[in-house]
Amino acid sequence: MFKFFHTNPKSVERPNLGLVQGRKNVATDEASPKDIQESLYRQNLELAVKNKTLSLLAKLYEISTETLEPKELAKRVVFAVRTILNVRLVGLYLFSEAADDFTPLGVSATDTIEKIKAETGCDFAAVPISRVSQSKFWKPLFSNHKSNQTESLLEIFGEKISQAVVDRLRAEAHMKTVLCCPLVIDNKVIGLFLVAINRAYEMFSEHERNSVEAAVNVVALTLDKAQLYQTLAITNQKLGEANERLKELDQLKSEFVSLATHQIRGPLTAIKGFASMMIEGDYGEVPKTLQEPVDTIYQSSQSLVVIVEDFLNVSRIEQGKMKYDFTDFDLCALANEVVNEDRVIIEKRGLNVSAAICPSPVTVHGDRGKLKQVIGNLLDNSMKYTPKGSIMLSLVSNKASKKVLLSIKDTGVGIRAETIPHLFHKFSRAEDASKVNILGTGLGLYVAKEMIKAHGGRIWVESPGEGKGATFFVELALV
Amino acid sequence: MMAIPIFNQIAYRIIKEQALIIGPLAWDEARKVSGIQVVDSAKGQVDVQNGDPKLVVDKLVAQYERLFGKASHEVCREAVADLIAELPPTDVPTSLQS
Repeated sequence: MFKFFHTNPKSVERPNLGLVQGRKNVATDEASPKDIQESLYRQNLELAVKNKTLSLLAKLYEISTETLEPKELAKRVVFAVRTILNVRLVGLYLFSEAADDFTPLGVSATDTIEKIKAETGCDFAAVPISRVSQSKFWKPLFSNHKSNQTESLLEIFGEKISQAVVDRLRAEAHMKTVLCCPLVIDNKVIGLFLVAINRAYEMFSEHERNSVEAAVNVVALTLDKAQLYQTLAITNQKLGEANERLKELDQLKSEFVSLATHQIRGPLTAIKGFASMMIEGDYGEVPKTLQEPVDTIYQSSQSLVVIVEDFLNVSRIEQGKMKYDFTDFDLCALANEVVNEDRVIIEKRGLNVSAAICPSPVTVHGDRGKLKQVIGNLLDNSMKYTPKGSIMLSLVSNKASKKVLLSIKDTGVGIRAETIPHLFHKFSRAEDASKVNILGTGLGLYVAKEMIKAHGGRIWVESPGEGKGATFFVELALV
Repeated sequence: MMAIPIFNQIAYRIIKEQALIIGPLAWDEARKVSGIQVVDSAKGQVDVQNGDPKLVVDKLVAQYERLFGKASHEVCREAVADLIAELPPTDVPTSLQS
């Protein structure tokens, strides 16, 4: 909020416009009909003045709701204020601390000023008010957020307007006094509201002063809102562009990963195959000193195969190239098949594993290979995070909802509540992974989620907390 | 567009400003002033005729002051302050001089 600052407080003699001050009270018995009439007039006058100020504010609010672009807003605001208050010129300026100037955002002037502009080229809309911090005139605006006024245009615009133009503006356009009001938001000057009138400032009526004061506060808020909107719009545009660029980069990355992993897969298969053949004794008995290194080569190449497969799956998913071969099959048989294939490894780790018991086939429509990969992934995950205890796979069919719920419950390290929402994101691994010395890409659960999504199903995890195990669920539609 | 004579503008502004305070009565009172012809109150067309326009404006101001006192005189003066500011001092009606 700013307050008018009277640098030359010559008071103008005005009649008392109060209701009863210094006059007979209308309520008293001595009041004559003329007294009553005059008193009513003064009451109406007070209301009319308030009404005029409110009308101006209503107009400004209307503009602020219809316009968000700062330049257009400024154009409409200055025109409305100039025409409603019958002043010579109204300008709205933005303050730039870096440039130390007020830059014009919108200026509205009378026809005579426009004519002088056309003849002299003096365009207020193109003239910034420079070196603001170096002029005493602007000090009250910045130090106390008070307005200031002057009868010298040169005090405001400096050498940017010639004396000849100033003389014409005074003589022909009657620009006598310029009132400068700071636009203040959060105790900071964000701009300037400039009003040029054709009288001395002391001749500016109380109503006009009040109107300008009220308008300035509304304009400051409106301008601030418009600037925020513009900043937001620019940020949004930049974000949109950055997002597009990121998408392109992501696409390039996916293509690169796909290409690289395809290239890796071939040699890796050879390494794994030959290591396997050496272990199997296809090249004769492996010397004892080489048995462990060859075994390590085989295990490591196996791990790499899984990693490469994860990367390839992610690339296919992101490029929309993952192919699904849908058929009807028994999910129970598939789940138990996975358990049986992994049973040896699981039990080797000292864990108990139990398969699903299904009284009848649980038929689903899906890609058997992909669902096998998902169940294998979940089982592998449980195994990795369960140092001791058991893993239990179960299936529950719900004929009413035509859904089947597959669950893999373990007695492992459990999952913190805050980790759960991120678990199915790319490259996400439980924080305990390092504690239990788990290797992995953090892609397995992401791939599983995407594959289940492609089946129209749901996948999620529940855990009572750290050290209390976890249960992974997959829900699919029954045929 | 032809420029509206300044005294027509002054008279119109005064009547309009009074109408904001006292309503349509302002137009009725203006019609009683000799030299003021209200052509179209809705369109704001007022003609100042018959003799010295300064005197006609003075009579208009006095008409309101007679009914509503000094406050109405000040209202008239403020209503036309910007128009008066652009007139040579000799052309300003006595009632509107500060």
